[in-house]
Amino acid sequence: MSTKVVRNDEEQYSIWPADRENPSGWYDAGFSGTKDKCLEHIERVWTDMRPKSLREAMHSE
Amino acid sequence: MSDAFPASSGQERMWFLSRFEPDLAVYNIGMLMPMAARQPVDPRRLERAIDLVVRRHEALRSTFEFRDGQVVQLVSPDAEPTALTETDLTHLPRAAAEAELARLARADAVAPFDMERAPLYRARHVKLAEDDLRLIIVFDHTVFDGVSGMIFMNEVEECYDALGEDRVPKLPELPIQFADFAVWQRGRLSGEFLETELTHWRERLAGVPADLALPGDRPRPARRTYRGEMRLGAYSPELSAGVERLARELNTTLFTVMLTAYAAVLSRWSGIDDIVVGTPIAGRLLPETEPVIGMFVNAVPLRVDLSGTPSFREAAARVRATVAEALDHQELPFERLVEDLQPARDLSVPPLYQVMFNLASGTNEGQIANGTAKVDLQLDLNVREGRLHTRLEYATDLFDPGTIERFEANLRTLVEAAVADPDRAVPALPVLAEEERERVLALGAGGPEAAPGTLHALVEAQAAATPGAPAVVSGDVTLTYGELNARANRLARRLRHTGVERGQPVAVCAERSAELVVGLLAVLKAGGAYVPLDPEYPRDRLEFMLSDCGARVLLTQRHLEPGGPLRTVLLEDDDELPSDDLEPVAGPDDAAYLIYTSGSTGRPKAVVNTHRAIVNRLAWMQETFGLTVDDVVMQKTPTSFDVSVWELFWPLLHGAALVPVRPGGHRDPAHQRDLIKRHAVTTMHFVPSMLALFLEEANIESCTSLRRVVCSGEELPPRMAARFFDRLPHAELHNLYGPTEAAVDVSWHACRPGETVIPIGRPMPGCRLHVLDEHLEPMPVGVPGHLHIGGVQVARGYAGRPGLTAERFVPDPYGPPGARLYATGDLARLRADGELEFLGRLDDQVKVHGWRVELGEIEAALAEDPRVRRAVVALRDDAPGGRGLVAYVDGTGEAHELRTGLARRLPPALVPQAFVHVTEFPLSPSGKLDRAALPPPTGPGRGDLGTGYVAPETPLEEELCALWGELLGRDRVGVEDDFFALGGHSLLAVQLITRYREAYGIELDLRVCFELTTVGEHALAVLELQLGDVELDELLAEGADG
Repeated sequence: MSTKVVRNDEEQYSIWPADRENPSGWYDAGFSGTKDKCLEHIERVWTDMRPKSLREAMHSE
Repeated sequence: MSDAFPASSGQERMWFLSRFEPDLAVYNIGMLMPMAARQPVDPRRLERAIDLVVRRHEALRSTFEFRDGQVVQLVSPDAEPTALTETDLTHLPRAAAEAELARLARADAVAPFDMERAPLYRARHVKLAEDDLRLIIVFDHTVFDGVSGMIFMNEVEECYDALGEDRVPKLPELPIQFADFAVWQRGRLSGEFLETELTHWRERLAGVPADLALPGDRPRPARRTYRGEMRLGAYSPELSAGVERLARELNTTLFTVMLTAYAAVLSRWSGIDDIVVGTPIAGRLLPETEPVIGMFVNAVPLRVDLSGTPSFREAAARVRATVAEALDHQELPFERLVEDLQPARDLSVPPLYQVMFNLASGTNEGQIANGTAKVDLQLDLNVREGRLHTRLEYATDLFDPGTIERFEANLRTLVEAAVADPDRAVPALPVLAEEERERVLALGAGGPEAAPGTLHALVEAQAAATPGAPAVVSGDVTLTYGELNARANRLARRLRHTGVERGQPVAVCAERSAELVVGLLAVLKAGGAYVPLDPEYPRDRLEFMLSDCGARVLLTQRHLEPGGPLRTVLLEDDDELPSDDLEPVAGPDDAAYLIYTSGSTGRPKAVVNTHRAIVNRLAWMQETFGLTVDDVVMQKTPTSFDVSVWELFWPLLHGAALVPVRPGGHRDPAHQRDLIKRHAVTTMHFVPSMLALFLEEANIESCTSLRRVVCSGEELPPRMAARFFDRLPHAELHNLYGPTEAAVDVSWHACRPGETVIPIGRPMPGCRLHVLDEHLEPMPVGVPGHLHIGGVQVARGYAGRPGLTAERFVPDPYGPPGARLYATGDLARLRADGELEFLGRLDDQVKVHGWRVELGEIEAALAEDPRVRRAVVALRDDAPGGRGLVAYVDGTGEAHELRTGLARRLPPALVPQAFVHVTEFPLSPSGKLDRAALPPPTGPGRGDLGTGYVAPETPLEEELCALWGELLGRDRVGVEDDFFALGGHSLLAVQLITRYREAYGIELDLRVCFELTTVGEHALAVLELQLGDVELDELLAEGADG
């Protein structure tokens, strides 16, 4: 349980050591485990890889 | 008449070194005695005091000789009265006199001793003032050691006082002399005891790294020079007290705490968690030895285990146990251990350990530096007046003063952190002080980002500005900017009709041509992101990419049309549609292109790059090179390789002309040369592998229009750059670095003639390059780490691969909130001047026989041989003699010649086991070297590699084979057998030279024995030395006749 899944405001995902404070602008995404488990989790939940601001800009067109 | 005793093994080693490096006094011990309490000193009385001490200690009356195959110490019953060299500095002002004293002390300490001539010390008294006489005294370490220094000082002072008071000096009786100890030690180190000790150390040191390889300022020379310098420092009283407190808290010693900290910094610098540190041991276990002057000191290796992320507390406990265990096995002399574990063969690396550590029990204040270093780095500690004093002695072969200054600062910072919190994990203890950390991070920042934009909008603006200027010149076809833009507009409308929408990937599979340029531009205008597919790729790979990238439309040429489910648009068709610019669809943050890169797992992945990223990259290029309408840029890189993006769009953003090479022409240097001449090309790109070919092409000097050549994609060897400046003296050469995951390039270095290392340079504006450790903390200047890229050029990720993207694009602690860093997988280091050096792939580092080997280093050394056009080295399991290095060489020169040349420049472990001649190197589709496709090292290339018996051919070879056999205790020696492989070692080499002298009347240099190691080579050397005389005789005879 050394790694956690983190997410930024653009809803981009990454991983970070579970026992360390997140860098500014990154938030816990509610999943932790081994690095491989975290990456598997991200593989499932990160379905639209466009940054959120771009998605919203395209929707508002 | 002198008495002869065998030398101790430590003395043997020093004797040997003095023969090996006769001009260097590596093992001189120089002391400056202030004699403060006895001023004004009477020099005559001082001489007699020294005489009394010399009379007491046999070691000070000893000399050394080589007799009957061994080194002996000869003890003379009496000695010449001491005559101090006198130097009067009273005429100098105080400061100048002190400076001159230091200079004299160093000069005295630098001069080597002749081991066969007594005495093995020299003394000088320097008069600074009438009432201030100083004594400089320098001993050969062969008869002296650190404890001897204290004995000597005390005894001289006592004798001096006794002489003044006309009494007998009060000095302890000497029950034994050093030679007695040497004889006793010889007896003790035999039989079961010796075997037990050897077994202990063999087990204890099994698998230690052959070289700690601290990152230095220069690569290790093939033969170390022992030249060194030192740096003094002192900790504050607070920190010194803190270290003492920590030692008490951890229930250990100052020695253990500081050794732990030292090993921690060495580990950070070297990237190794298995650190072997040598430490001197007084070697006076027998009480009788305590008052005796002589070379008792021994060195023991302390193997510090920092694996598994221990806390400092835990690491110190491990060190304490290691030290205790080493003390239990301290009697085995260091040189016996070296002989057993690592036969003296390698002249480049200090054996067993490359770093030392010592806590001096007395004062080390009076030590005189003499410009030598015994190992790569040695830390001596000394506590004086409540402060911890540090002395770092370092090999100037490897290090500059600034580097050692940083090491010292790193150590101090780590010590402070350990004192503050000993429960922190060792790898997490900082080595950079906050200010230095900020400075290092700032060095990685490349300045402000360029104004955002889109590629197509910028081309449209240029087309409006210079509609009549040639944009693309391809064979007989020339498209002006107006025509290019209009045609791309029509095609973009067709793509929109076909269903292309904003952000959609559109596959483009076309030969290099004007149509290709139109097609890529049209995709962008339509709002899509282009996915280049190289028509030369294997069909399977193309099909994989087509289905993987998610494109619904394929833009291609008629002859390449694949059929299949995709909607296909042909580039040749040009429908009657409006030619004016489309309403903008995509913005700066939309994807501009997806380019596939090979994955380590074998499945390629598409990198998604935005307009903002590539526009920033092109803005740097324009700011740096200032392209104009008069420039002509060659477009030769396949579109599947991201260099093509700048080749295609940079000229189109600034009114220059684009000249595509014909299909396949990117591999044809002659075609490129002709194209440069025909179109007056000013700017082009090469992958270094291709530049090498171009530079060997005939008549490229005629390419006078060529102003700048840009390299990237591979390491650019200095020799290739030199060749470039040689053949194209009027062109600039630029080295760029960057992965596809960060919009082509992120750093830049303008090459200059004469560079011996070509860095990848400084970060481009809008980019940040950080060399980080595994916790994403910055590495110190000069220390290798994992290169990370931040800033605007960082790609969006890998299309359809969220897990992989999350793994390689990590939270950026140094950028704006929410930013990401791309972890390149490249090893790099930041130089003091702010430029970065690329050091290879993190996963590419190979290990051969315990050595960490950078293949590039061997390749660079080979490439400096004038017979070698190019060389590639690979680690292979099928090398002759098992897993090992194989060199692939394009050039002339026999394998054994190349091997000999390399052996002069590199440590033996870096000399390949086999040499294979090739005429070309396999290249991947992107033009990079394909190491995996190199042929197995069988056939003619390995002819001379076996260690099989080769019979002597000449009478001289026969004699030498017999002589070697006798000396080495072997029945049969062949011409190609290696002296050291047969069990030869340094002392045997000396014997060999003696035999040659007796048999052939020649004087073979000892160093030659380490460079020429086979009977065949020796036979030639002997012949050459003999012939030298013969030729002279013949000349004289001819002169007499004529």
